[in-house]
Amino acid sequence: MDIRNIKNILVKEIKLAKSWLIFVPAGVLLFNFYIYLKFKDIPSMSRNAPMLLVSGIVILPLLIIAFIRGILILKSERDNRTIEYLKALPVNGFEIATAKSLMIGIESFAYAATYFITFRTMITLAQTTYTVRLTLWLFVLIWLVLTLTATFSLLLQAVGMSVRRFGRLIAAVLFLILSQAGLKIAGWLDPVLREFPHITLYVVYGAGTQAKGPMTLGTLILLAIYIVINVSLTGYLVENKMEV
Amino acid sequence: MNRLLRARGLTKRYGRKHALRGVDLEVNSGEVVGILGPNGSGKSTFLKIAIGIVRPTGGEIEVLGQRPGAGLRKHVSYMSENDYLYRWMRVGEILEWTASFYDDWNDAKSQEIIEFLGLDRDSKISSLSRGMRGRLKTAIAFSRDVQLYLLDEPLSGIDPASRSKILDVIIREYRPENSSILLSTHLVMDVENLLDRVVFLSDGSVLLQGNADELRSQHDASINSIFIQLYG
Repeated sequence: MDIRNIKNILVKEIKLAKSWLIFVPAGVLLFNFYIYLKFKDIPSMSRNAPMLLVSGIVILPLLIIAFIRGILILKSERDNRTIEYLKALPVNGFEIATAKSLMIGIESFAYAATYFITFRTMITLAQTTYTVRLTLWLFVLIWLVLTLTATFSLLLQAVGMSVRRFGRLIAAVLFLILSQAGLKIAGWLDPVLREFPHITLYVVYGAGTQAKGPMTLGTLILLAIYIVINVSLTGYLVENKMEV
Repeated sequence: MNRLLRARGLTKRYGRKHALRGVDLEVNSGEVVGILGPNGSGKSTFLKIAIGIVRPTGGEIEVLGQRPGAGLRKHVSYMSENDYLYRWMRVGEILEWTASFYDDWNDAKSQEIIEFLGLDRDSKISSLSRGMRGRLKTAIAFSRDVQLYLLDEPLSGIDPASRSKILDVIIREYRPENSSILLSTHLVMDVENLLDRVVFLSDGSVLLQGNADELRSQHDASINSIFIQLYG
């Protein structure tokens, strides 16, 4: 893999992704503000309310956006016929997949950071006597989950663009198979993952009340491995199967 | 005379449809070879296989002694018939961005071609007419110093003024002593005088190929007339 090629493609992606980098974080900000307005008058939130908000309300739209973004980052190249320009450059499929995945990673970082900062601020504001502290590991977890989601949809889009007949159907079936396989593998590896150092993943709110999540470093490593697998498979498809 | 491209029994199938059926073709250094044929005859597929963005179903192809792929694309210049430029970029932007991938990009030559073709570096590609976009594609292809230029329908769908400008660039920049051109077209009249050798394709098969001058004398007709006879 040529780093120069990856850098060049990434430069193009960054220029094109300006709106994703501005509007999605802005949307996250507004959404959090909405949550603040909604909850600010509630005198005391239930024990696990912040964690519930983290996992349930705010993350879901971000996951959907990450999924859509993973599809669009490749689909737009096909729709605008620029995939031919890209593939006619002296770059291979792995470089294209890596550059696009790096862009996805940067965007996911921005989404996770915006969400993380605004969520903490809003919840703290909402409960005037409360403060919310979120650990760095929670941020890393959210970032990796968003990146994994986007690289997974990138892979599915690559499948759809590589198979001439029934591409979408095959991608949908693969979605089910791969997502189930991912969960199964995580289950099988659970004893191994438990051997990794434990990391503290919690939200502290109020006077030392904690909402904890059990997690080891192995879980984050597994997510990172899944991302690498997605990128590698996408690279293989772009290089060997995707014709323009 | 070096052989720059050699295809043997090249076949491409999309499902049940054959795009190429056992095509044999060679390009030697210092010659302009025209792949001629109507739409759907397999011209573009051949060039896409040669540059490595489409994989053949069968047969073999070697370009500059290499199998088509990313490595080869460093040494061969390709221009697609499709409107495949990044429309959100500016002219100068796409030139600089494309140049960043190549060691053989010639900035002075690029600037000269851009000026000759009347392209403004600050113009957005989306604001350019189809003819101007065709000129830009030509400028990108010829801004590089390579041994082999693969031009897919360089004049198709382009207004006469732009066609003439594009042809001028091809003639000006073509150096028979160190480069060759393989171009596909169905607009034979425009490129007739450029061609050293021609290959007529029909439904993925070679109908006729040979030296342009020899074919003219054998048939006592221009290449354009032979084209009309074959496909008319």
